[in-house]
Amino acid sequence: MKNEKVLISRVVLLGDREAFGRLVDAYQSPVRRFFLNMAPGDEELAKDLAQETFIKAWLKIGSFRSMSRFSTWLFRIAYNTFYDYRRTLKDSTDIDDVVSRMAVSSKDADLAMDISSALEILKVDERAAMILFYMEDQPVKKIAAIMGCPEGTVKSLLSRGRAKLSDLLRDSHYNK
Amino acid sequence: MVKEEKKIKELLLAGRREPADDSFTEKVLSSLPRRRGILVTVVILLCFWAGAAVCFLLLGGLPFTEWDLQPETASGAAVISSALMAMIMAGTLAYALYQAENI
Repeated sequence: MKNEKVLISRVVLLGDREAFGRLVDAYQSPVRRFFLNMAPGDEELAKDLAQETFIKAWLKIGSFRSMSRFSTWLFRIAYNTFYDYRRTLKDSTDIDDVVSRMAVSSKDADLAMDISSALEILKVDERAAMILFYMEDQPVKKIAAIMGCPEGTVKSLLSRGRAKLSDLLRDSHYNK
Repeated sequence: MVKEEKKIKELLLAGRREPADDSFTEKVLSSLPRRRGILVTVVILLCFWAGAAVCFLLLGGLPFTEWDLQPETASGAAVISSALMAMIMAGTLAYALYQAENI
């Protein structure tokens, strides 16, 4: 994004809401898409979690250091928000039930079911790594920064994710 | 393996939707809690300190020696009221700056 640094400076120094609105405009699609794929099929949940992510970003933007890219910093908040959500969910109900319900209630057709079921077989960390790598085009180094783990761990998560999806694809129409 | 990876990428990219929603930004902006910018905070503090410094100088005796004023005289009362005025001005300015962030 062209004027990203100027917008961030305006938000940090002046608490400029309009500048923050332009940052939200620029990043709402990738952030909501990330949540849509992390919790497959539930658009309302994705919206709520994305909103929570941006509110956290607004409150913590003073701690943003321009050493990393804004998108990396924002995805890190999004990733932690999803983890917090899962933790609260685990206390009240079984996460797998909820994820299955989300997938079944999806309005999209077969494609959404294919992708939902493909993502469902992955563990949360594997899913996050696969989504960030293949859908958001983030390099391994940045995924490691987002997930707060070493690059080697990200590589092995990607490798395991690929192996699981390969097995799934072997039994599906994608292989025909 | 390369072929399989290509298929995986194909599958995941097929699900790469662009969920654009114009009302989303408005919804986020309307739910943002109040937060001052660093610069606004610094300016408010500077105003406060400047006001306090003026009051300190006025009440601390500097004008009494420089201007040869006595506290018990009417001029002394003027000094105290000036100090109060300075405090009020500093406070008002700080409040204005505090509010300005939401304009």
